[in-house]
Amino acid sequence: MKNLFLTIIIGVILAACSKSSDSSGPSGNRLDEIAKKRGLTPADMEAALKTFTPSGKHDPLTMFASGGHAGNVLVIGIPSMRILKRIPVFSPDSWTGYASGSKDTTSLMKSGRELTWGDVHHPALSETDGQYDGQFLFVNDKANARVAVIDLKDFVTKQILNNPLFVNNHGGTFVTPNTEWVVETSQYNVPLGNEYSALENFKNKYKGVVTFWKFDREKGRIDQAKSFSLELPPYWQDIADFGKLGSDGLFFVNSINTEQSTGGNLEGKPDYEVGVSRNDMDYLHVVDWKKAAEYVAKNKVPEKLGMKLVTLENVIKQGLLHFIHEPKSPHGVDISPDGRFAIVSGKLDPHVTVYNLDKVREAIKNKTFSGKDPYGVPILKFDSVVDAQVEVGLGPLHTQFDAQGNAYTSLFLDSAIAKWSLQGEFYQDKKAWKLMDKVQVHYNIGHLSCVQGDTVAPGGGHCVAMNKWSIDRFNKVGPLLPQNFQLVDISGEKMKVIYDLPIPGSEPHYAQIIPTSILKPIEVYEAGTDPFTMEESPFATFAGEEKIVRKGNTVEVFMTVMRSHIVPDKIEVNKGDLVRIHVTNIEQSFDATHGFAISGLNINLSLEPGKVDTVEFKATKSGTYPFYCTEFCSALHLEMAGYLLVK
Amino acid sequence: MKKDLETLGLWQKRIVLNSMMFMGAAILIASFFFPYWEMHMTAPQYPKGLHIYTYLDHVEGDIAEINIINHYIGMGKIDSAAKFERRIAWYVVLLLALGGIIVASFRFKINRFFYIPPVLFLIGFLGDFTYWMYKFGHELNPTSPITFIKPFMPTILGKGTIGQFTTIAYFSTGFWMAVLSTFLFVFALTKKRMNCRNCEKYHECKVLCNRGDLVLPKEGKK
Repeated sequence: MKNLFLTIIIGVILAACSKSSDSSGPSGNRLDEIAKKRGLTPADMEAALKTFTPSGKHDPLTMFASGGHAGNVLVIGIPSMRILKRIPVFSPDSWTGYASGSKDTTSLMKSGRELTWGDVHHPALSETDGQYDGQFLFVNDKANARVAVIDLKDFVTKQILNNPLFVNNHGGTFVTPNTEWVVETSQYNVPLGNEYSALENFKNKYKGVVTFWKFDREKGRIDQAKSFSLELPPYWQDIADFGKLGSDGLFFVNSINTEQSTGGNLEGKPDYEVGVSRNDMDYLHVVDWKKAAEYVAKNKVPEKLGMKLVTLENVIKQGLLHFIHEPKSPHGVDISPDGRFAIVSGKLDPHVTVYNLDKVREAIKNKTFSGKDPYGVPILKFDSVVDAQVEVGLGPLHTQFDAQGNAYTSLFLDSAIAKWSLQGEFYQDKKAWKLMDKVQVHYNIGHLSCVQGDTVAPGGGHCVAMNKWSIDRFNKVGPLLPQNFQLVDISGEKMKVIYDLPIPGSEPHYAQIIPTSILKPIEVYEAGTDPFTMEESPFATFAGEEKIVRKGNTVEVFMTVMRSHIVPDKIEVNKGDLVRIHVTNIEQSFDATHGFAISGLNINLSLEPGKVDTVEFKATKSGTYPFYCTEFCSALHLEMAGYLLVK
Repeated sequence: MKKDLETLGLWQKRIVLNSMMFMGAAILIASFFFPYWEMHMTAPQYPKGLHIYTYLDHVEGDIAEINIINHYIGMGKIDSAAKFERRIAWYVVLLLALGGIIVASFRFKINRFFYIPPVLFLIGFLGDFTYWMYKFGHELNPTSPITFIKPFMPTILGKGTIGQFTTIAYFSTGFWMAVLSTFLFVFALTKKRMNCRNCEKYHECKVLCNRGDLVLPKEGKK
């Protein structure tokens, strides 16, 4: 009824508009006709009006979504749900010329380990006072325990770090409210440095580790020398989050394998899925990172493999780690905007468990312990720190927040989002901790992301459900299906799904949504810029300076590209020469990007205006190799070519 | 103003007219820092348009982009035009302004020819500008990739089209300041001369007129 009413209103408004401005415009009747023809309900029409973004209009919100095992980050506009960019991080990308011939990006991506893919899970925007500041984006690589820094000046990956202590992470990346630290926590535990040790030694030789990477905002880089790690028991640590406001200084991470199951199903032992789920309770880790940082600053902490590592013994002795029981094998731990609550999603339990962080601090201070784990880590008394357990539905995974005191929890098994009330300014006493609404999503939701939904000041309005399965949502495209991002309108009392975006990449995990106005990207690089340093490259070449320099068996080419020619357009080398081509795009016009591809040599660069990049290869086979511009830059784009001749 | 001037005494007249000359000089100098001519080009792929601002000594705007577009039809680089004129422009302006100041401050016989330089300056600018536009439009490199655009006279004033571009061109702030400055020079000078011709008393004329303008009263009349 409400929808019908709305349709009529919309129709009337549009009719009025069409009369006043454009007599050939659509009228209410015409809209109904279109809707009827396309089989759209009034609710569909409402959704269309909420999401349709005409040509030339920009999205007020921007989402940074992990690209999963495609190793990249997706940039998506909201509410239009248009994909704006793929930022390659751990995998090559020939569009952006990332590790597809470019010398610098290739060595960056491989990280000294010959890796050509990664598994991006949790993007984290840099924060100031607990709010996104739009300057940097951090991502983790679950597969290889790496952390990357993306500069949002140019949306380009600038740094990738290998964790020297472990090879697999999940609790990352998350940042402290002022981005002093970027965190990464090991998941599938290994002995330090990935050394061999039999699984029988799991309890003693295998280690859990949390690494606090020191971020230098001025330089826009992580400083490994100032970073440190804490040893944790090998419990398969899972997702994490930092405290904020009142709980600032604490760090939280879940664990799923306190059973310390080591598999062995071929030998008749239980599968991990059984072994890991045996205990009714696992441990929520509470790490006092501020105390830890102070301890590391004041004491000489021994290094292990180039990383300061506080041993578990010392971690316990210094009171840096406490445990609290949590329902078995939970998934997300999320801190409420006011910093008062940590919300742990049950995954195998239909509840979310709400921990009061003031009480957690109190319990730590008063040593209200119910015991210790086998390693000696004190366990806080569950009843003394838990405020509520809210039954939200089956398979709760992750929780996000809005500005009106509501929490939104993704339900994997229910394929739904649950909206429930937090205790605080908006809901007191009996109104708190109540399930208020549920909306179906399609299907098997993992993470969800709401506007600034994990900051101290959520924006509200929209959430995006990141669904693992799409089944029947889109045209059939063979056995491998896209994932499904569903835009959910949370502005009303009832949540509504208003748009489906197929993700033709890979398993996306977490995402963060930021008001577009906070982002301040550059339009072009200053002429001759090396994107890594953001300063003039020593190889920058300007018009008239192009040259080919031979030194022994090394041929160095200083090249420029602009519409529509490449200078020089003829390069002659001898078989066996080492060829280095430094290419500068000498244009300064917005969007005047050129590519530089050499046929048959697996090389393509992307040269945005002002950028300098280098290809390096050994001319191993004599032959004739045309090179050309891969961006359709101008009417004479096809003529933008040349020849590399290997004698 | 004319009427007001009539009612003024000679000293007051002198102050007003000379101030106009000083103002003319100041405005002319200031005009150097404003564009004399602008062109705005629009095409589908340039939603913000492309813009040229021509100053006496340099050009500003989307010069690099316009040069890139122009090279397809074999046109020269905008910034290579009128190099000599641009180098001397500042001195010409200073000289002209200095002339105005001298004319206002001293009573030289030659002052009465000061009509000529500012007018010459304006005509010179217009002529030279047209010459360079003609030269650029007509001296297209015959080996350029695009040959369907034949040599043409670029639009100096008003609306024009070339290729996919629509252009709007007009004389701008600096030029109009130069025109105003010329008007001030010419007006003040003319006014002075008229007064001097009608001058009846030698000692009064001494205040206002240039030496050559003086008509000595005849013995008898006095």
